[in-house]
Amino acid sequence: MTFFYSLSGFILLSVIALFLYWVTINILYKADYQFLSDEVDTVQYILHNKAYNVSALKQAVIDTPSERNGSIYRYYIRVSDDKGQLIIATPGMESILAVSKAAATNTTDLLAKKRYWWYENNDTNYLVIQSPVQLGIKNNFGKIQIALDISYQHKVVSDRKKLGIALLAGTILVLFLGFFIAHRGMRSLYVLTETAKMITATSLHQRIDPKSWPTELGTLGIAFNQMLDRIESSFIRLKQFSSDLSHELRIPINNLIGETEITLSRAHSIDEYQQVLTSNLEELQRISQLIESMLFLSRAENPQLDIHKTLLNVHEEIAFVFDYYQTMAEEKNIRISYEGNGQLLGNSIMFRRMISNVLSNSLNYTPPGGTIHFSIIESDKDTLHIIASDNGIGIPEEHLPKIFDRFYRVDSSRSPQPGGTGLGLAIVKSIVELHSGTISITSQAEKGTALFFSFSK
Amino acid sequence: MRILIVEDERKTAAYLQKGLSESGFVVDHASNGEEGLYLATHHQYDLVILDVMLPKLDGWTVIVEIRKQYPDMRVLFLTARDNVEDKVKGLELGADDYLVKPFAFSELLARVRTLLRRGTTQSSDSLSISDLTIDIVKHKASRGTLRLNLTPKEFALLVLLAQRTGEVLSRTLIAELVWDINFDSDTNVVDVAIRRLRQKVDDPFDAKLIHSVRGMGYVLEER
Repeated sequence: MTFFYSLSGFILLSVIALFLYWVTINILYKADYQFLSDEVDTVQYILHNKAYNVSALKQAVIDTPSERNGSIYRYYIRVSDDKGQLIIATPGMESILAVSKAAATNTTDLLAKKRYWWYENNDTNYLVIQSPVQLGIKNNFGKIQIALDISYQHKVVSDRKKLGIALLAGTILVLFLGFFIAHRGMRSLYVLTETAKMITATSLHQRIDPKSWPTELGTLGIAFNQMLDRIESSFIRLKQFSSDLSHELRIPINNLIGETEITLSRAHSIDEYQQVLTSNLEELQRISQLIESMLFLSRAENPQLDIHKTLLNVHEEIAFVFDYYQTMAEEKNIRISYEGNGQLLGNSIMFRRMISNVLSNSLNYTPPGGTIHFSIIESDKDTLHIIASDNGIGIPEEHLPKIFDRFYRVDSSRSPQPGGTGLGLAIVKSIVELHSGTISITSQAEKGTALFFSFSK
Repeated sequence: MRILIVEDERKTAAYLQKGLSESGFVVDHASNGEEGLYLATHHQYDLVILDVMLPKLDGWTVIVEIRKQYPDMRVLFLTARDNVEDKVKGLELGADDYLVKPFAFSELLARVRTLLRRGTTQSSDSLSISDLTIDIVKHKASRGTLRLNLTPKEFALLVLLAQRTGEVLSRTLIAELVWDINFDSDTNVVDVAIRRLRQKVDDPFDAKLIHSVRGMGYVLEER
């Protein structure tokens, strides 16, 4: 990671540096070339048009310093005729560029290109231009040589060492920055990795602290924690569930084993055998019912469960279940009634089972002379409420939050129905949830209980 | 009546064979799909009880093969799988009925009898057992000369018990057949209903007709 950060930083720096270098060279030298070219043109003009006027030339070119952009150009000029005879020269020209070192020129070719070359003398760098010139109007030709001191530009340009140092420093800086950035990002991932490694079924409480993380990774950290939250809560539920289940199964199965062992230990009368078998059968039926309920709940929890839904007439569905429990209510001297209308998209069998569980519960916990009433309220087009209330023995407030939990019993001693599995309300809740509804309960001891169902259509 | 049980679970097969034999059926047993298919297509059976999960050939394949040769053979599917798709698939492939494990033997027996009665039933309009007579069309029941005053549900319950006289009917089955309650419910309701029916049908008379069989259900018969 650090390496790639640095490499990309280095490449970026190099490209910028090379570009700037190239631009600088262009600007610096272009100006110099232009200057020399202009000077040559001036000399040619003076020597050609002003009829070989040497003094004018001296005045215009040599004595007047040429200025451009506010800085004085230090340059030397020499004009000689075709025989090499010096016509005019800036003092010191000979020491800079000896006549002998001047390149030979085909003087007859007036249109010949101006020639440029670099020249170094006594640690000073010059850019030299040489050009033919027509002396006067006659066909007398000579040559102009101008040397421009470009030491300064040359120094700037040729100082690649500094550029290299800057590049190196930049690269090192990028290396450190890259390392820092990568380390900062990676440290978060390292923490994540270490936490993930440590998580097992028994240490699901581990969390990471993404507050100090970079923003991009912070989201990951939060999602990671949320995932752990979800896993932990399902895990706790599952653990609770399986321990409850084994508890619920262990007692009846132990009873069965004990009873069977005792019966087999010695000979009994046929009546006794029959009695044991019947008792076993009842116990086994209870276990079977328990397993059926558990299977229902675990299937209902499967999010892929696709239940078959039709448009239900809620009044008719409730009437159907009430019809079944009517005789029992009469027998217990409890008045059961229902009112209201509404429609709901739902699974008929599940919906009936839900109503059946609620009504059966109420019948079990309402004393003779009591009443149970179901109201169907369609408050608006989108919501359907069902309120199931009784004036039975009620549930103490402290039990209400857990009342829909599996196997939760308010008080095992007060269950008048020994066949109950403790799953009735858990099943009710799961059916409500399968229908995208909500359920809540209010109750007062000795006053009664009310269940509120709310379904959005 | 001859029944073939195709079931690989040894204990299940053994108690089914025992139970059905004791109920008066001739029972053969096959412990895998191939054997089951061979027996079913080489002997005459009135009913095949078929498990879905079988070694060698599964129940789906066996039923398709049986149907090719005996389109009218009655088949009852027996399986631990109870999701709806399996049920639908079983019925689509031609199963006459479908029972999910675990099931009560009394329920299986009732379904077997229903299947075997199908097609050969003489749907009589009246029933009589001992001095009990029931006129199904007129919705009237009487014992001896005494007319029984029954509610519609009580009448339906009495008709069910009388039609299946001698058969022990489980509470679940009664709830399903009389009230159409095909989900797990409080079957104490059935006990209450039977108690009320007895008050009218048996209490005034010396000879009791409705008997409870502990742990299993109820039966109507002359004892």
